[in-house]
Amino acid sequence: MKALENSAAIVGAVMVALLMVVIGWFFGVAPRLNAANAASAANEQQLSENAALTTTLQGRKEAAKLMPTYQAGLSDAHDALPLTEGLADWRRTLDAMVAATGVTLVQDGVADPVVIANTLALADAAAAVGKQSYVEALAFKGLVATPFTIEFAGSPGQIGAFLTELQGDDHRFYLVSDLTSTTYTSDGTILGRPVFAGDADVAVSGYLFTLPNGASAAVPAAPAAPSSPAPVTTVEPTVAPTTAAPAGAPAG
Amino acid sequence: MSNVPVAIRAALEPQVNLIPPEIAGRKAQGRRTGLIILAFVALLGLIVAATYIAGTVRNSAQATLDQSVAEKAKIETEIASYQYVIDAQTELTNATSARLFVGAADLQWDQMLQNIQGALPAGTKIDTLKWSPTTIDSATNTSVAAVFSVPDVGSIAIAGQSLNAIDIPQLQDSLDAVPGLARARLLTVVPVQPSDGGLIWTFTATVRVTFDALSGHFTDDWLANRDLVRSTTFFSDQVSRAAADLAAAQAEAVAGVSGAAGRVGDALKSVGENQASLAQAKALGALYKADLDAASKAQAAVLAATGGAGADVKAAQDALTAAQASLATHRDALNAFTKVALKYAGAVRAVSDEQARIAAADAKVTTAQAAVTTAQAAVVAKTQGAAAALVAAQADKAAADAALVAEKALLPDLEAAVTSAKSELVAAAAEAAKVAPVPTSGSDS
Repeated sequence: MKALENSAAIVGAVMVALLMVVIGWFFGVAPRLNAANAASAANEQQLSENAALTTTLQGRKEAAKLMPTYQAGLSDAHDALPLTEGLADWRRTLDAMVAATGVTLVQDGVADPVVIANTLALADAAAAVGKQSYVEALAFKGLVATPFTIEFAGSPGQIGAFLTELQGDDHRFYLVSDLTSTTYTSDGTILGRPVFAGDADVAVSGYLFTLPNGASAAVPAAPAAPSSPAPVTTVEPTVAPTTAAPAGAPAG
Repeated sequence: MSNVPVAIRAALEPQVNLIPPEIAGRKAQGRRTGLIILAFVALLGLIVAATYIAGTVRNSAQATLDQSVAEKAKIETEIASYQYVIDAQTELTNATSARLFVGAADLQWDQMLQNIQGALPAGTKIDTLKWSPTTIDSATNTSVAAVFSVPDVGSIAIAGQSLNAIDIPQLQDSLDAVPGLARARLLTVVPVQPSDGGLIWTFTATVRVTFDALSGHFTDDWLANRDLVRSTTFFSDQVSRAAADLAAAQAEAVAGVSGAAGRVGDALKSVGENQASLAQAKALGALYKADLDAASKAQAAVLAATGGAGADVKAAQDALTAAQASLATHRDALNAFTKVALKYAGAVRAVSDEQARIAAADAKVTTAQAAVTTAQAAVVAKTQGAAAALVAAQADKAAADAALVAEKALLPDLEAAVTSAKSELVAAAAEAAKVAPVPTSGSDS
């Protein structure tokens, strides 16, 4: 009977000891070790992120050294696409080109500016001649186009010189998007200035462009190119080649 | 130690346990209980220690994590400070893309018109020409299915007239041969008789504009070409400017040589003139010398004639020379004196300055002396006061001494008075004794 009591006491003590170990483990040691493991894992993750951030920082430091290059490139781009619409400058340039080439300015005008998005699809047209278009991959924001029209008259040489000046790169970029040329068949006058048979009246439409400062604020860092370019326009003439003679032009 | 003799060979330890089993059992039970309690305490200690170590490990890991998080914040802050670079890159990318886009639909029209005109037969002129392009304006960039499904970027419609019969296949081939044009179609060819007679042929045609016609404005190749042209123009301008400078320099040199030649001629002419003048001067000199000789002779003759007068003159001249020498001597002396005087003046000024400084020092000394005197006077006054006080004190002391002496002088009188009084007392006592009865027993007082 005594031995039985002793055995029970020993078993009980062992059970209590085991209970203490279990309680100590689950309520004392294990939570702390788990917290330590979690902190270590988080630290590993953090170190990995820090390494990536350090790489990013290094990249930016390297990029900062190229700031003069960026600024020069930006300045060059803004030569073609100024920060402001500058219609007065446009008018002065036009007058200078007219004076330099000797054409007669019949009329000119500008329309309201519009924001332009990239809707050009030249991939197929380029592929048709064995080339590759770069237009579809272009992503930009804030480009504003101001439509203009110019009608002028002059000899073929004067017209060529005027077009060369207009499309030259000594000033902001002017895109000629439409052109109609009508040749005078006899001598006459226009706006009081003489024109001769063989001279021509040329009407051009186009755009002058503006890229205001900060226009790219919403531009994604890496614009994605469209996966499948839109079909290319293969337009037969939508406007019949029957252009009316300009006002004042002699009847042909 | 056991008291049992060794010879008996008794066991060292008791061989008989006299403790009752109950008591022994209780003792054993107590030991077991103690061991169990000890084991529990040890186990508890182990658990606490393990918990503490685990907590330390956790705290260390947390501290490391906190450090990493702080490092991250620091790096992010520094990255944010370079945001302007990203902004610049974004701005540049946007501007470059926009510029490429606007240049993508560009077609250089001067060259195109020349090419088209060049493709037309002789005697043919264009009445009208219209370009209908694919444009960047989305409103007009609509797609229309082409008959032959050959993609391009637009078309040009041409209407013209020719004085000669038009070779239609030849014209189509010529237009197709223009770079950037394809699929020329001569739509109508109509012979027309103008009012002035004769016969002309009018025609209408269309030709497609291909991707090759586009200038590729602002592409890398275009920019490189532009820069090349610009640099070529720049250096060409430089060369032209240098050539102009060279020509100007050459012209200037030629002009200079011409001028120099003129000056040499002038100089030569001047030399010639001077030589003539020299010869003339020589001739005049010869005449002058002759005149001088004659004058000398005449003077000698005059001197000879004047005789003593000449000696007097010579003496006077000698005296004058001596006087002049004396004057020079005196002048030198005067100069020396002047130098000395200047030095003296400097010395005098220095002395004067020194005297002024001495006077100032004297004034300071005087002031100091006055101060000393005042102080001495004060000292004297204080000393005199002290002396007077001393004298007074001494006088007081003398008076006191005198009083003491006087008092001392009175002392014998007082002593005498005392003695006298004692004597009188003794006498009075004796007198009294005589008057009073004398006791029978002897008494010495």
